[in-house]
Amino acid sequence: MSRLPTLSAPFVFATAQYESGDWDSAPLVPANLIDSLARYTSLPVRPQGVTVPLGSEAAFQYPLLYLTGHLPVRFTARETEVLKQYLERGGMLFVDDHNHDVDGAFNKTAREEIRRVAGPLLPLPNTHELYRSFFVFENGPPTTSHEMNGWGDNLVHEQLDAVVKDGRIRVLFSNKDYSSEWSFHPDNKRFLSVDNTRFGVNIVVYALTR
Amino acid sequence: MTRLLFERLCRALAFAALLTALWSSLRAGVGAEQTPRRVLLSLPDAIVAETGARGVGALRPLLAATAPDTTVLTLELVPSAMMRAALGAMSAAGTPVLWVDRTDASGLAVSVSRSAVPGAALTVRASANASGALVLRDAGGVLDSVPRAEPSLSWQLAGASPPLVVQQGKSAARLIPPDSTEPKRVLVIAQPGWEGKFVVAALEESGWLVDGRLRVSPSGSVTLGAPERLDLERYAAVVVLDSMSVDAGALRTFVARGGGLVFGGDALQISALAVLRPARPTLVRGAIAGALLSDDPRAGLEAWELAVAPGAVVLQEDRSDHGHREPALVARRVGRGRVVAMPYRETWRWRMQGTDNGAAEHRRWWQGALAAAIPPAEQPRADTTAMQSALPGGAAPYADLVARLGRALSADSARITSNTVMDDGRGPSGDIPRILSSPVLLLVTLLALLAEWSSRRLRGLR
Repeated sequence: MSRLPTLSAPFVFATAQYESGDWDSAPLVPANLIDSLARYTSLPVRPQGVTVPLGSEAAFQYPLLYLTGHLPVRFTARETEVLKQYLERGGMLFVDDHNHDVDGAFNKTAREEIRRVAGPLLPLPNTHELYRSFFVFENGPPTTSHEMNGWGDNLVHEQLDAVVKDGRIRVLFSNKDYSSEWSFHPDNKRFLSVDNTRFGVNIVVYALTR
Repeated sequence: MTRLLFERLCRALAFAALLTALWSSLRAGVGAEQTPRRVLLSLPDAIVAETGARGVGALRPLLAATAPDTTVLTLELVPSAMMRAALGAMSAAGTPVLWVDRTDASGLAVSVSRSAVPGAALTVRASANASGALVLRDAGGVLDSVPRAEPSLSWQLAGASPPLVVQQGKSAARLIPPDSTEPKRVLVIAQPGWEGKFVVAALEESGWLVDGRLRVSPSGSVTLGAPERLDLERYAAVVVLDSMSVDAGALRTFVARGGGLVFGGDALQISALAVLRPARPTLVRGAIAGALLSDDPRAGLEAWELAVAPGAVVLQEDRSDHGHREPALVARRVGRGRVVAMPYRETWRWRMQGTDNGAAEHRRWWQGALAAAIPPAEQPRADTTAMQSALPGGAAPYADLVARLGRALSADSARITSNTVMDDGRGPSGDIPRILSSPVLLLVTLLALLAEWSSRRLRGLR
């Protein structure tokens, strides 16, 4: 067996910046997930994430985009066009409802926008390979401490939703409020008995390999 | 007086017959030494076209009866493959077979192949004289006809019911197309990353079943498909992209036994595979900004400049800003396999950052690279329903005939100059009149002497 030094370009965590709403509502999530990737995997990762305007062709440089917020989402015509192309070319969009509220403004409008751009969101089976791509989550998406905190819909969401094309997840939609769950400084992981960002590693590994 | 004259005439006739016999035997002896016995056979069509051993069986007694030194055949049909083989063997065994072409046949040659990639069409190529219409048909009937054949024609067929027959006048070539069997799998060896992801996507979208194991941590890996031991039974090719580790020995064995190998970008740096690579990477040339959106999108990809290895062939080139052309796809044979190299480090950008056609172009590019590494599906199998095509040369019977027997004689040079001609195989005849053959002369001599002796006895003489 011959070995070579790592050659591939490092993974860059990209957050989608859209014109409506509060796209930057979870500023600590990128750093936390980057830390987890470096901590658990051998993937080359760039230490800093980037923010990418959704209406810019720069989005095509980052085949995984993270999008979150609390407020209503209405994509501009340019954002719609870019996102449609982005998904058709094989990019993956991870959308997290920072309100964890199925009746909330973000959930309703973001789902409408996703349906308009990529088609309807359908429940993703909890047996999907996403839940085994790195860590194993036997029961599907891990529950967050924010799902029943008295805010939002106060529900534990059993499944994530997705738009799947050609066997690959194009859009992954969560009402579980991972944006709140993962929004803390990475140094504070030492206070957790189980790192709650592990599912974020699965999402990135899935995006990089499928 | 009259009786005396009669007796002398009989004696003279006997002498003349004896002299003639002596002359003819002397002539035959001299001729046998100087001129080989050349036998002209005009074979019936039924024998020529007989596809089984019966044709050869019918030919054997004709040749045995004449025992020729050289056989000259007048052919009105291109003989069957079995008959061509028999005549070729006869010629090789020391009895030259010449032939006069009255077939009115054209030099028709046909090949059929199917690239060993999923969903590949059948490619039928025909080469024929421009003199007549060319008809392509399969078991289901006529597929196409061309009023005036061109020196080279090709068809792309989604499928065909065997046998495929291409016909021009009396010439026909028939072939069994290779099966469109389920393609084998492709093994991708790569690190997890966008390049691996999108190459796998492109291959899967093209119909390939892809296996791979992408190492994502020191103790964990992501499995694509169902990777198994590298084996020709399972895998048609291996794509190596940028892997940290490869089993070079297994790859070398795989290629030597007939497998395909594609080097993508940084994989060309793997020193353990240097013996296999068709090109050596030298320097990295940068991507041209904006070129991904141009009509030359590959210029927008960062790439290695390649030094082509001896014996390798450049299949595609890129324009370069240095004014010369850069190899874009290089191939070479290693053992029974093929190895292909491409210089690009991040082809995924072609798909994501290119034009709206980028994804399709990226898919076609990888499909083409794999096709170059994998030999086409089996060469055309012989038509086993007809014995004639079970022998070599079925694809080009006329050419096969020429290869076995040499070019046809012109009508003039085929003119008989020798002592025996067989016509339709019914019996010998030569340039000496039958009446002068030895038995007839002997009979004439005996009758003449008997007549003289009888006349003398009747006259009371002894």
